[in-house]
Amino acid sequence: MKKLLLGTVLAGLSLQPAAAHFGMIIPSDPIFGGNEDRMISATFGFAHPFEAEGMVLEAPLAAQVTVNGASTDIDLTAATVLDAPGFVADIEIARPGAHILSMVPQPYWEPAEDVFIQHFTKTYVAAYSDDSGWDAMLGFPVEIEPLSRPFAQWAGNMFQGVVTQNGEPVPFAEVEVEFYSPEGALDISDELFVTQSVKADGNGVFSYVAPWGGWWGFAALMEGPDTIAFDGEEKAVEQGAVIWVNFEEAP
Amino acid sequence: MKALLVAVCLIVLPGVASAHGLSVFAFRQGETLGVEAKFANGRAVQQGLIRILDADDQVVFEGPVSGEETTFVPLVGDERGLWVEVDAGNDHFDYWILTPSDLAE
Repeated sequence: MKKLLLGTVLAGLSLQPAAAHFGMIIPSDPIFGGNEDRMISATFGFAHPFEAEGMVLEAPLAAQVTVNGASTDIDLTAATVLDAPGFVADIEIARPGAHILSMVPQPYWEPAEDVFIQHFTKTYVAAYSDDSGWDAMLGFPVEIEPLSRPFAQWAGNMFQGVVTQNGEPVPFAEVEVEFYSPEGALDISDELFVTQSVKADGNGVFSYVAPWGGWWGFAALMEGPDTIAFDGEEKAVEQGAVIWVNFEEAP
Repeated sequence: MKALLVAVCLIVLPGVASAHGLSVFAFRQGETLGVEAKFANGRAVQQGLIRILDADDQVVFEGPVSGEETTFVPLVGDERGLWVEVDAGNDHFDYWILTPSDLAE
């Protein structure tokens, strides 16, 4: 009887928040006005951002900064990110314009979902009060094209983007949205608040209004064309198009 | 220069309020300096004045923008640094600082 009651209670009190995985690139400055070295720092991780729970990020296949269509490799230094292996980097910001920081991680095996996960992750940093290039794309297999400028946004602004796969819009794509809470999970009434979920329209366009300031991650998840052999079986690879956008509280 | 500039202004680069939607960038290319000046919409400044000051705050170059994306002017000044400003009128003003390392080949 006790077991039955306990089972009933636990079923009602979900103990494991339905946290979403996010590739993360969080720069020190979403808008860079300059400093002596013309350098910013950035953290590269893989995490449940709302809970500030890190997961292992193996050395990415690529990490780059792209401005004016030219890409430069970023030197990553292994570091602990949210109590898990990740990377940090110092990145030179030598000219005005939107700089896209990006990474292509290795596919990550997620036994709970029986798939590999690969999040093509990017964020945009405005430099020296110049926003040109804020809608530039990197040509990832899956990628979010920003329709709203992905920086210098007020909290409460609507962010819009187009989910693309191989450069084409993905109708009705599902987009997970999560706030990065560096100090840990906020006090919420239900785990459903952890990851917001929106769907794109028939043109692949999604919209989300960030209710408060900070870093918000948007991840559109799609099954990729390839599989990876694992334990004698071919496993699907979930490709995530991830973009991180900073929203600022009104002054 | 604006002597402090190479020493100090590197810490406080282009002021948002002073730019009024104008963005200036400069770089060395061989024996020339490239100067980019554009508005927030990406359009290159069509009429504006480039002024370059050296580390002694002396004007070492003055001339109009070309109207192209990049205006190339002769390399002037010395390795101590340059202040490159563009005035496009109506408070459309911005500058870029070329540090010694920017000027080194």
